[in-house]
Amino acid sequence: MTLIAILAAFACQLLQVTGQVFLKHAMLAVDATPHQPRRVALSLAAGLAFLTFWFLLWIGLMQKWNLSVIYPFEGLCPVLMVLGARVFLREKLSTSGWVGVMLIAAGIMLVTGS
Amino acid sequence: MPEVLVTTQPTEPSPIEASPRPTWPPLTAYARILLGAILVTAAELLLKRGATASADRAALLGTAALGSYWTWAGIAVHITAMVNWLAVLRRVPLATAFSLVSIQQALVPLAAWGCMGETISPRRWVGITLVLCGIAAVARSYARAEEKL
Repeated sequence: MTLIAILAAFACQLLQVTGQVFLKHAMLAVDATPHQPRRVALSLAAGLAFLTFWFLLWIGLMQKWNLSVIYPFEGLCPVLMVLGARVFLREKLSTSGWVGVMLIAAGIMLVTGS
Repeated sequence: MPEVLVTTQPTEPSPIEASPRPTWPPLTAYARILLGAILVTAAELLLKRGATASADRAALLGTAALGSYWTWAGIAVHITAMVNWLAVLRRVPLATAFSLVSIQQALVPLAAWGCMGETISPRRWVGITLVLCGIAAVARSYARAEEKL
């Protein structure tokens, strides 16, 4: 497990979070009044661009390193996603919701690391 | 649950954004999230086949895998899943939706166990249980936030 694998796997999760935040931003604009077609299009394009880059990096990581090395980093994703949604979309999660996210993160690391 | 009459609308944004236009197929948010998890699971399995088929030409960006039909099938299923995901995001907050779709992390080993007779280590069973408990907790907290409206 090299440093570059750790950094690439972490960057991968950040790319996914950024892409998803843009997608949600676009979907919020879909039902906004008055209509904001420009905001929808730009956010959707940005989201899809980030996710495309995430996708290519993810395939590359799968080819280069063993899945049991790369996959546990997926466990960070739900936690980073909740943080991203909180900072950029002002979504709030209750305490029991946070407990749930932590359980999911720990569970993913156990499932993928073995 | 009791019906409460309120004269003023709450000012905080609702957990579910209003969705005036119906979407197709007519599924609940939960069913849509589960459908998305199944589609992504299928897509990941296809991608893994494509990536393995081209592993001899590996680069950091997995562009060599594009030479395999498995990869293209995986991409097609991923696109379908993406359209479905956008419909989910229209109605459900991102943090909740993404947490619930994590059920795919439990679906993959369970599918491999049920359909292909693969074994699941005790450690992995614990992980699957944790993921499912976490999803139940998130779903409950979301259902409560929905009730408050």
